[in-house]
Amino acid sequence: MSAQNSRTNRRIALRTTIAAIITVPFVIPFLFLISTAVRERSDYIASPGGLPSSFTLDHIVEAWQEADLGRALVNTLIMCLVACFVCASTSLAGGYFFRVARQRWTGPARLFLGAGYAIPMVAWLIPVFVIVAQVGWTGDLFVAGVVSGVSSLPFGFYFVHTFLKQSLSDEVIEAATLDGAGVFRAFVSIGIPMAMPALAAVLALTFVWSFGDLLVASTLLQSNPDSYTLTLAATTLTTREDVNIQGQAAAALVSLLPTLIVFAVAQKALKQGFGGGSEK
Amino acid sequence: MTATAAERTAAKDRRARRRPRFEGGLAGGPAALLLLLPVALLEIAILFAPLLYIAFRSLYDWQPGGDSEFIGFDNYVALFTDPAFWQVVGNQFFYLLGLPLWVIAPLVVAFMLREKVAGAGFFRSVYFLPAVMSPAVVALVFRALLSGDGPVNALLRAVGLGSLAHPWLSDEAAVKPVIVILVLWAGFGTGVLIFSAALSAVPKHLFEAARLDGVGFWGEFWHIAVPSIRSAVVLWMIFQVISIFLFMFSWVYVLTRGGPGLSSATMDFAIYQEFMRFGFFGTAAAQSVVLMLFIVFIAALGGVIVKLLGRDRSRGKRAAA
Repeated sequence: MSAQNSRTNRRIALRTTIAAIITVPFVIPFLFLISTAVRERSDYIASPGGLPSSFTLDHIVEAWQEADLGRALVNTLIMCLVACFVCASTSLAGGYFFRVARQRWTGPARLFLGAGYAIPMVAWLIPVFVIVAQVGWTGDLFVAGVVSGVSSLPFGFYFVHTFLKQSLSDEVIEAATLDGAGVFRAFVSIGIPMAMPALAAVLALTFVWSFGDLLVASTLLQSNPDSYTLTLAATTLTTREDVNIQGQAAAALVSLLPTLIVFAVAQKALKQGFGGGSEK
Repeated sequence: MTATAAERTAAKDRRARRRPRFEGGLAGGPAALLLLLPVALLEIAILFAPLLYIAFRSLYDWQPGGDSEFIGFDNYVALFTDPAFWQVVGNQFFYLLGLPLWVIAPLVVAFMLREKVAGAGFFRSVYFLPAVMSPAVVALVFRALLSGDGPVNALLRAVGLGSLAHPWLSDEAAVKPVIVILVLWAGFGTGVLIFSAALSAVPKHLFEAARLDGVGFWGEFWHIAVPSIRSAVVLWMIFQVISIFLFMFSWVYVLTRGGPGLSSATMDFAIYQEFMRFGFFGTAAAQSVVLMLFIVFIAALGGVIVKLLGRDRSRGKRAAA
């Protein structure tokens, strides 16, 4: 028995070690990013992969000013908030609708709208850009936010629908509508509260996606440097010859931190949302 | 005969009872359509209508804002006779060679983490990090790491493997395999999460029985774990394939700009480039339509596979019963 125990222990130790080794490629790029952003240029050139032997915040300050990262951060947040509002509010309503409506056409309609996820972004974004440009809306953060929100909409409403299918029973919906409450009252009084974990997950993912987006920004916002988002500012910064790798690393660092924070905060909600309400 | 008639009336009864409940009770009548309206309108206006519009424009010598002349299928002919197009399609399929890696690596690790690994949740979170970060910004980091005088090459030289040092992203032979590895890096954590969730639903006694038979780690993996969660595996495969066609823009744009030459360009990047940089609007539209058709084909293929697997399973169940 004890021989078997020690074998089990050895197996567990082995597996834990392997799992720990696999974290290395996920951790190294961050260590590299942080150490490059805060070390002197000469120090980096001497050993690009080595440990830093100097510390400076100059590069971060420089990149912040050069690429106007403060403004880019505000722009990104505006775009993300619009995207989150558009995606979350319509996903809630649409997801609830497909939970309660079961006419013959609603199943195919749901699949059709969900299939919007698989349309290549360039294929619809380019005509949208042409129209937006003709109306003179390029460089508008609000328009970019709406477009970015709609790009996560097929995922968002389908996610809310799937979640409600598991967590909201027919009986509850019937009870809410029996006493004469209309569909909107039922939506507000049970639909929205029951969908909260799914809503949090949709919000977090929409935020992460539109925060990290480069395609919408480089298509719709490229023309107006005043409305550059963080990703656009950071990638534009790196195409300039006069900006060194420390500045690039600093810009990259600033653009990664906010999503990491959102993710850390929303982790519990994400788990609940993906668990279909079963993990309480 | 009478039995079927009775069944039919019973079925009709059930339907009749169900109808008011579903159409009136649950759905709340036509007013409920207002809940559907925002999703439907936004998706049709911003996703579906533009797609139809670009398909329509692919038949024109499209000059946005100017006069566009109807030229039938000339754009498609120009596209299909352009070696650059076939090179990009070839790249796309080269990337697909990474599929076994993208599926099996997270599957093995999810299986390994399945039981009694200290801190399994922590490891999963670390692997998941790339999923919450901007691909564009992460690609910036990798561009620096992999550059000619970057840390990866410096490390190789330091340990005496200087002959392996490469300009990873500007060497035509190395760039595609490097991107395959980076796609693995980006999707690995999501795959581990999905497979872990699927594996946790597999009844434990299946594994215990296998262990008593002494089949070992790989035996358990291939003969029990993989078949038990094959629908999750197929879903993940479809998801990865679609990602390779849909979401590579940021990576390619930042890492290589499609280069050297066109040797790392994906279709979505090539379309963007044709349209936003070179102004070949008509052929860019035609290429968008071709890309869409690829995706429809892949999705249909995936659907057929899922259906076949489902039938297989129900037959298995019947045999067991």
